[in-house]
Amino acid sequence: MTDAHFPYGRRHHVDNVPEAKALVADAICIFYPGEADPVISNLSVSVPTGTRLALVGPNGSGKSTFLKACAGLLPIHSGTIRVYGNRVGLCHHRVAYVDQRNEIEWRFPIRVRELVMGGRYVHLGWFRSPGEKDQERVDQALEMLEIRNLEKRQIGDLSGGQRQKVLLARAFVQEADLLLLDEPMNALDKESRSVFSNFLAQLKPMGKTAIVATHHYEEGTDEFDDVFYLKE
Amino acid sequence: MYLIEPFQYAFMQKAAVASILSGLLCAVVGVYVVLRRMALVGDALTHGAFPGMVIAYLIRGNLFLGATVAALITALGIGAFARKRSVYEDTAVGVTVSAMFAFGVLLMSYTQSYRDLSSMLFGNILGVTTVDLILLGVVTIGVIGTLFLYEKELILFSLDPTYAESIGISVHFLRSLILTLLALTTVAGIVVVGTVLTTALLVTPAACARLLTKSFKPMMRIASIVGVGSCLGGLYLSYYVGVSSGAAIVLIATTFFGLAFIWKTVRGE
Repeated sequence: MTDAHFPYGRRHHVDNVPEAKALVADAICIFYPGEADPVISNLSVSVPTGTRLALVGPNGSGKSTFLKACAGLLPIHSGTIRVYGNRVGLCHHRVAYVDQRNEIEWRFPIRVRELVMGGRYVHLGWFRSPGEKDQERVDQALEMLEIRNLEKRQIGDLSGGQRQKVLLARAFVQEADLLLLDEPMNALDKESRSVFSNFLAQLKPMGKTAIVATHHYEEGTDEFDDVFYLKE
Repeated sequence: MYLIEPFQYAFMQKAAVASILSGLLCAVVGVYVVLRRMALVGDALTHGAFPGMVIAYLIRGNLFLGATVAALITALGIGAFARKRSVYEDTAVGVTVSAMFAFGVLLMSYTQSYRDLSSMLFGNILGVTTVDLILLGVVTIGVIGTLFLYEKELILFSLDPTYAESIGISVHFLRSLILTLLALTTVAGIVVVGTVLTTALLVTPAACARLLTKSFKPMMRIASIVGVGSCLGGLYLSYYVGVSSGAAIVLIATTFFGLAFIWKTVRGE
């Protein structure tokens, strides 16, 4: 990058660790403040690059907590998490985190296109506005998730399924290598469900990795490459 | 002629410039206050500024500067309280507001003059000095410029703080930034409408704009027009009818809000 650039994290690029797995969690424990029992205790999992992993388990088994920890949003009490061989938080643009939709202020007065553009911010950093290349990426993502017709819609006017697709589009424009998706299939009708399957299928040839917390895992489908069960 | 006549007096010219600057600044910052639901915090900061003004008055300093320092200290205090999470934020704000205000009133007993108290509580736009105007100008440019520079992050943070954090944006920094800008803005409001009514100058124009548009940029524009229009309108009213300018400003803004509300209701939205 030639022009002045002020990334959000302290470092924008770290050296890639050759042949590192997308994600390796080793014996991690996570506590919520003030609680005696850990939400996650002694969890180890290793996710090779290019895998689409379903993260399955009952409510309260720690699916969301695990994803948040991998995104650097929650501290882990013990153990280690490595993302592409590096410590969590060293390379924000390589990890896209998609929250459950209810944690977003949907009444905020902006349009779908502007929300999706938020996915480019990690590349822009402070003080820079999106350029032509960023606009193109947004166009691609809107096409891919079949929401081109919604780009000028206020986000408050979207249905549950549309909201989900908008968030997936934002994750896609981030051009992350690892996507952490928390319950992306809730509130999706059949048609939107197939858009999501298609989204996952398109990640595969790009060599991207996805970890998807879900209640909707069906054995025998080719939506996912692998499944990981979390116990309560 | 009717419109120009008041401005043959220097004090009215200064009052007009102060109205435009404060009306604009409060409206722009007010958009964030309304969208982020920070009205209560805004209220706390205006009351927090009050003892600073009294202290400045007692030591014959600039009231505007005194208010600014006290509002910034209150902002820091609220930020620190909120991070501890041992008390709810609205409780923390409630405690701070009353304590700071009581402290101001207590200090006021040393002045033995309640005439000046009234100008602090209800504003004294006709008494604005050149130094006040310069400070107000610097604050207005500084705050609006900062909001512009950080706009994309502030919007993302207001909309989806978790995602903002996940891409490495320091949400603690942004929260402190908003509180600081808000503290500076409340002081600009205090100059024009006083401690008690500043919250209205922050919230009402933005709330009115929110009723009229669903987009962010138009909301800024409409709020600015309503804010500046109300301030100038209130100034005229006080000149021709002889009513308190602060009260007139707030009631004009409220009328705009009422009309917007009726318009929205009639349209069946």
